[in-house]
Amino acid sequence: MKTNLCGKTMAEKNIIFLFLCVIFIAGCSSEYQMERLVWQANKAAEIVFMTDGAVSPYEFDKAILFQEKIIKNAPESEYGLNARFAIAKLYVVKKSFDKAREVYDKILESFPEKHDICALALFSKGQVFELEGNWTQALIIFNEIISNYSKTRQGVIVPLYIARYYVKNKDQQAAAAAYNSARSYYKSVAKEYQRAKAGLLAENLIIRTFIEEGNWKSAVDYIEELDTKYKLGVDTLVILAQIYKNKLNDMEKALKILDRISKEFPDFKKIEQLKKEISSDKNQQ
Amino acid sequence: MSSLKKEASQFLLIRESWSQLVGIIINQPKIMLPFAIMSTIEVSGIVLIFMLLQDPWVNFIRPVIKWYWQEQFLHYPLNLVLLAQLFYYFQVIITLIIGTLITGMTINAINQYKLKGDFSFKKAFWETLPKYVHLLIISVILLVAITFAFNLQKILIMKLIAKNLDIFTSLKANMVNISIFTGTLINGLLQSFFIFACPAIMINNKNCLAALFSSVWCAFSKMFAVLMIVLVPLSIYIPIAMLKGKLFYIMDHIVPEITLFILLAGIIVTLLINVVITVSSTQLYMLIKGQDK
Repeated sequence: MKTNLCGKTMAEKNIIFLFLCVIFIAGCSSEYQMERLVWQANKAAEIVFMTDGAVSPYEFDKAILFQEKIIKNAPESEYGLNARFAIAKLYVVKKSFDKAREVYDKILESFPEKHDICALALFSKGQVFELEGNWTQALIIFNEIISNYSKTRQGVIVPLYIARYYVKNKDQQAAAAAYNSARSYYKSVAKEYQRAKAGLLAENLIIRTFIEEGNWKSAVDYIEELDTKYKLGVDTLVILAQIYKNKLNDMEKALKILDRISKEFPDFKKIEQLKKEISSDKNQQ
Repeated sequence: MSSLKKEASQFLLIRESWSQLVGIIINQPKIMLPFAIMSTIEVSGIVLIFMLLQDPWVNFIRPVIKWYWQEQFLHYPLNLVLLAQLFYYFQVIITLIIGTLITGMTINAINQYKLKGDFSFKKAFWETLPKYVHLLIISVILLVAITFAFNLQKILIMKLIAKNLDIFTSLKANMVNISIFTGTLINGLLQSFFIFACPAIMINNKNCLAALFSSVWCAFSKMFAVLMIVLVPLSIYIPIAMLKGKLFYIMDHIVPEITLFILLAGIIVTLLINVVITVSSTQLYMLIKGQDK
């Protein structure tokens, strides 16, 4: 057998070299390759989004192909899911609304057991109809989310989303009706999940509906009603103080609430600044 | 007239050092072997760190990375930025531990070559080993001095820019490049004072303290020559430093893996700089000592 000055045979040296190569190649793990592909795909998609779809067909197809490659390599993973939504978003930017909806329908077919994903896909599909100017179809989809996916995040925010649409389009009557409808829905959720996180979230959303409507008196009344049921947190108390100060012009009540914050939440850092602001507004009056 | 003579003699010294440098590299290219071995170790370091940042080995260092940096540095492409940072620490440690030994061996080899016309690295190794601690102390002092000076110059530049004077505000955009140039100057200046310490230890058998004083004295006596010997090769690293300064931009606009090429280029350039500075400074030291006799 051939040897060299180090006393190792050529075969032994080759084995060591191969071992090092295997270690190095193993270092280029599948996770690294996948993350690299995702980065490339995001870069390609970014170009399409930044130019609002005003790219060459080559650039657009390249962006789609990258996402499809991710789906092919990891169809069930989070990467694959994000890639599906990215493809739909790319079609939306290119104003190929039918294709975008097809992608969302495929997501609904592929992940029927994942309610959060289905709700998000349905919500996005509704938004596509809205973008096209077809509010009627969009509303059907949004109502479907409220019925079938009420326990998902999308299911919770959709009623408010509908009301905000009417406000944006300056349809006061429809907005008022939508806010009332949202409040009824959130009250039913709050009743079903009393004292649970979902219930508290629903109560907060009810307050939000009053605030967005500009119905400050009702907002304040509702918050004070909540105060009798649960102890209010510092964030809600601050909102209450600010409504009294900025919207209802009642500095006395605002200061009373800040005093309460000082006693119940002594670590709250902005209290002195808030008191100063209210005191100076009171003096100006 | 005498100061002109002095300048002329320093130019002659520079010329002589560099021509001897070229001569030794052409006649005895194996003089670069120790530095080439160190470069190989550094390349292996890049491979090892790259491997360490992948599955499954990354799980061992994940808590440290999350605590000291952030979770996102464990993912592409920021894991390549982390690789560059970790490699910098690796390089510092390797340069201190192995680079010091290699520098001593090279100086010893040059001395052997001067005396006998040939040299043996085996002999150089065994003659350097007893003096390793002295060499290491010099390296550590130099590292601490350079690190301190770098940070001080960064703070000074920031304070000047913070004054919001027009001239400095316009410099703000180029702060990284300015920092690189001033950093190179400071590095060169500090190295110039320490450059003869290792030859003094290896050739004249001085201890680290005596070598330090000897080096500073020699450097002062031939300041211009010493600065040229050190700064000219060091300036070759400026483009690499500028690329490293713009790493995020380059990664974003070309491809993140360019980091690896920049690191490799840095290793090659460092190899050349180390060879040139070590050999030419040793030659210069011998010439100065020869002049003094």
